[in-house]
Amino acid sequence: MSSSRKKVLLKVIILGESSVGKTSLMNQYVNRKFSNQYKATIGADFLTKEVTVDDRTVTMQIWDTAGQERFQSLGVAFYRGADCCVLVFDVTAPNTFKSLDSWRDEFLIQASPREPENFPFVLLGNKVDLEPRAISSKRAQQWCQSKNNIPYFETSAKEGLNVEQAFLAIAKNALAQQNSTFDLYNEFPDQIKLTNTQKPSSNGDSCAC
Amino acid sequence: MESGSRLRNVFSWKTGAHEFSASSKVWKIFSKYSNANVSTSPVHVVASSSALIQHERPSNLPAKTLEEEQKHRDEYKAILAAAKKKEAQNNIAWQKQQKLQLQLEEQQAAAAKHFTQHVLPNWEVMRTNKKTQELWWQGLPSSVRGTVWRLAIGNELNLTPQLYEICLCRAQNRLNSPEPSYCDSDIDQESSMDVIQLDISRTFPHLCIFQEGGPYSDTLHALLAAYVCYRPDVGYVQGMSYIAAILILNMEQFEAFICFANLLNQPLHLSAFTLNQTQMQAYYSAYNQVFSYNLPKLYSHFERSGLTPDLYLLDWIYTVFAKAMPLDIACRVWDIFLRDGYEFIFRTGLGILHLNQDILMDMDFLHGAQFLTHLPDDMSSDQLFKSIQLVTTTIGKQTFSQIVDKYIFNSSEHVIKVQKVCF
Repeated sequence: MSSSRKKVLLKVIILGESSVGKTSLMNQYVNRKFSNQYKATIGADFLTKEVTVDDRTVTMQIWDTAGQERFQSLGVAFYRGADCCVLVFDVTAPNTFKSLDSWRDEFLIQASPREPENFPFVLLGNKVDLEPRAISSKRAQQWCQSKNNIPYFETSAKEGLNVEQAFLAIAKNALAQQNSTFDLYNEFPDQIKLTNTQKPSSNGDSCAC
Repeated sequence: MESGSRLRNVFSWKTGAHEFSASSKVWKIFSKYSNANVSTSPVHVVASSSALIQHERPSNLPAKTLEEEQKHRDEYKAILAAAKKKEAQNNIAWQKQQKLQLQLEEQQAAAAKHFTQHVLPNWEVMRTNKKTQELWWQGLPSSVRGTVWRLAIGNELNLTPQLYEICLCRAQNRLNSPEPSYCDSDIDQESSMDVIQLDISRTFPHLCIFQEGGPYSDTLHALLAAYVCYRPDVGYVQGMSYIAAILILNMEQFEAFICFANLLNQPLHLSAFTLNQTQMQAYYSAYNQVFSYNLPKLYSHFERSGLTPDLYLLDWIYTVFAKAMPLDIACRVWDIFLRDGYEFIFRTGLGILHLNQDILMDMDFLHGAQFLTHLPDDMSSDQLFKSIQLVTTTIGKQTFSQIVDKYIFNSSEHVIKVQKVCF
């Protein structure tokens, strides 16, 4: 199989509380624009960008989602098949940092990736151009370490600070994730793949029959 | 002309935001030019090309030959003739536009007259009148829009302005109380209140009236906060701010609240805002069925590319197109949404697909999704309504509601079956 020759499409989901700057980050990255006049995202927004990662051109499909926690229950349709999940919080708003666990857990439940413990997340602490700061880099990094070393970037969508670098890391992680699932598919014969579609028994809440 | 170019210069200086030294240079150059203009040939100040005057060659220069003189005269005539022709054309276009505008205004005035004199005083009888329905389809005149909307929505819940005051008062107390509350539902409400605050300024941002310090910012906030106190079980959900805002733009605050609460009590929006996935799935399935009935080719194209309706319908349902379309077109959609009921949201959705089917057929998943979540700004409402007229949400004798019911029934059957298997 020449999977490396195939056109590579990476699906990236951006999650985080309302108003942390998810749409702004995506627009800064793809269109190099910032506006104070964004409308709240309802449902999802979509953008694509071609990037070169290790000499390969890949198309990143970015799914920007609604920030209100209640919309998490709509996740299944949005999260399925994601190659990387970007968590965003606002460094000036502590509540947006506190809810990161909930966003991460909900994503893992709904997207049910093959190996939840190895699924790539990237954390962005946005709005570093604003004062006063409520969450220090150290605190954010500690959180990242506790979650299997999630890469962390401090960004300003307004000033375009670190946005390019962050998304490049996102693309790299997504690509690595896709390659590892390709390997997984290739290693097992079809029969085993079929049984794998059942929910893992470790979920514990399967039907009693 | 001159004042025009001066203005333009001021703006370019403003928007360019270069250092001050650079801008002062612009001013200097500009003033030198304008002085020169005025002193040498005041004729140039006149904007119209028909005022172009041919001068004889000054006497201190050698005279032109006869042929040259004739040639220049002809050229001059040709320039004048072309300018006159263009002016005449512009004039005709302008008159045509004026005539159209006048016609439109007369139509609106006639429609407004019909509504104020015949429909409003006799609502129950006249709302279904043929002429009323036709005029309604063409878009309600803005002078009666709010009143007609209010009557069409009705007040099944029997809400009173007093109730609104009470809810408002409670909301204000909650916002002002320094003590955080600890019971679960209260925490939920608190976070609802926080999200409202964030969304107010992100509602119709280009209008600049709901933004901080804008004239309706507090009104929108008050209405939504009052609703959270009135229906704590629903709370505030993103999308509501658009529905409330479009009502506030068309009526008084307490009327807007009554309309808002009644609208959100209808099955589609109640399912949407309580995030009832089973019900919503039934609506999506029904929509898919009428979609494949109306536009089979596009439907299979979407199926193949994986573009499912929930990805783009969500935004359209939650805000009834108020976020997706320019305000004037959204208001026209609202007119018929309130005339025909919730099915019209799905019919408008199909209308959008119908209008853009050729472009959409050439798009892959992402471009299709992007197109539908960012509709073009220059969409023409007449073309959209023509497309809407060409699609239907009924199949044979089955109405849209019946199709939805069928799917709701099926999904409940499914649940029963699954339970039987399990136990």
